Amino acid sequence: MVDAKLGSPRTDEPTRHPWIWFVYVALFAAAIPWYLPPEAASTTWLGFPLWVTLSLVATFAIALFTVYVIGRFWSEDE
Amino acid sequence: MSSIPLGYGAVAFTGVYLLAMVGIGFLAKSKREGDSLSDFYLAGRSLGPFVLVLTLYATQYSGNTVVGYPAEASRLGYAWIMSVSFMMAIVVGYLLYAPKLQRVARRHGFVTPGDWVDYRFGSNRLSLLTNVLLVVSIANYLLAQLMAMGHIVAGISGNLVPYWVGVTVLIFVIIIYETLGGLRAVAWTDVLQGGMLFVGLLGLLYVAAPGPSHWQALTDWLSANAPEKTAIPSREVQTRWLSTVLLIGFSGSVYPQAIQRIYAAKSARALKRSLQCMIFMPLVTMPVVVLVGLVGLRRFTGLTGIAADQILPMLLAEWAQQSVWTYLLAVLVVTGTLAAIMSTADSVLLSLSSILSKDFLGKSVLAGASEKRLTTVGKRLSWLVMAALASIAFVPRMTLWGLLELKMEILVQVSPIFILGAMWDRLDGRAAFYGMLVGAVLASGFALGGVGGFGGFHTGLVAWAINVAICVGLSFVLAGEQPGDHSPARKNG
Repeated sequence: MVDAKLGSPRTDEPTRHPWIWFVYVALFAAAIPWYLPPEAASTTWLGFPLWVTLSLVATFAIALFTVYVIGRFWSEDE
Repeated sequence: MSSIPLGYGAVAFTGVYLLAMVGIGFLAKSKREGDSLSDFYLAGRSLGPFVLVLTLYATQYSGNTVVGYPAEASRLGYAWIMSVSFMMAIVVGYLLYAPKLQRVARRHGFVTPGDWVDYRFGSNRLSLLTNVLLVVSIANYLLAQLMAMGHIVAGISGNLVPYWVGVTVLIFVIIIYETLGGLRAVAWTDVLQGGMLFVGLLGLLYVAAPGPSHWQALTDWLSANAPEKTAIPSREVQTRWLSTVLLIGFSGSVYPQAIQRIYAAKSARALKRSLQCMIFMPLVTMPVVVLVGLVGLRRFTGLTGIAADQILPMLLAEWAQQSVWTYLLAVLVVTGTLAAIMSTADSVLLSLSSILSKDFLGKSVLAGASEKRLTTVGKRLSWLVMAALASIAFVPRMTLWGLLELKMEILVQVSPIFILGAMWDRLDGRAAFYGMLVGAVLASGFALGGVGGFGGFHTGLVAWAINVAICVGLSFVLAGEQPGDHSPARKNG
């Protein structure tokens, strides 16, 4: 899928790597507490309900992964 | 102190801040390198990573973030921590199209979002529809900022400075520095405004709940008095969370003012560095905002609807009475909040002005006009737009979050032409037009008809899914037509 108007084979970008988007789906899914039972709300961690802390950890992982993706899969050819 | 909750010190500090904004406007004017559209609207494509990250931050984090979101946290409880994920989704959304768009825009000298549509699809009607939807969406957004200005000023001054006076004065300051220096002035004021917002938020964290022991005390109070605020969100709220991540991720990343910052980056490297910083901003911003909302809930139980938008002003007024330090922090926070609102409003106004001038008038009554003429007309349009929106802002009818959601439902319909258009070279201009038209009509119809959602998903997102299905399906159908058909994408490819 290389279009003369839109890019060249030399230019790399995140949309050329489908696995990146599967990782994003998994990380965003982890940020939503659908996998925890209701009784987990009574547990706190660092002052927040456990599910809130887990959500923040997942979003921190999204941030770190994004730094990696931008650095590794976005070429700077002008 | 009894009539003005933050006293004359706050008035003086705000006055110095507003004068500094105008001063930066004059400085930016002195650095202008001509009257071209790209010099005025894109700062001559000269923004480095430091300015980019602060201008993106100040633009994305708005009056709604500081005034509307604590109110939302007080309604939803800890579930509003979803705001971290949906603000991050905007940066992830950029990765779908910004690498390609930045490269093409630089090569072909794009100024407005419509330039991409013209280049990629070569379709006048698609370009017109895109610009109409963008203008409707961001005019709505600008209106929300103007209302937020009025709320902050009225709350802090104890209504001594009426809502409408706050709106009017700040409009004049914004429009003066913006017409003086264009994006250069807007981006440079954003550096100061973004910095003030960031420091103000740290101040908020310090006063509201600075560490784990305070967070624990807050959680314990909520568990005892409002257990639904600490409970794991219901399936319905979880679905809304997912829907909001998708809606904001796809719509927030195609804000015209964000797209124009992609164009204004001085290089791909500068843009990459700025996004690598931006991805962390939700983590240092939104938890503070959620905590403030919950502290406000504990302090002023029973706030609902429009009154909940007054949580932050009421907290600041109260903290200002406690000690000199909390007074100074309250002054800093309120000025930082004003800065957040103004920095979003100025960017949106500049984008509106560029679209109206270059894409609407420049293609009709001013076709063939010089760039200098279009720039001058754009400045005059800024005054007209602000006057029209101010007259609406004087009679607020909805909460701030309600305004934002309505805007996102329309804006998200534009995203396929940027995201799919950059990713998939077979996307046909006619398919994109019909997809966007159907998506926009459905989203508007659902909103006007009072349809709240489908199984927890936003109606705008459902309309967007239909939009994307039409884009893809119709592109395949049209690709089966004879070579030499009417497809603008093919024609120009």
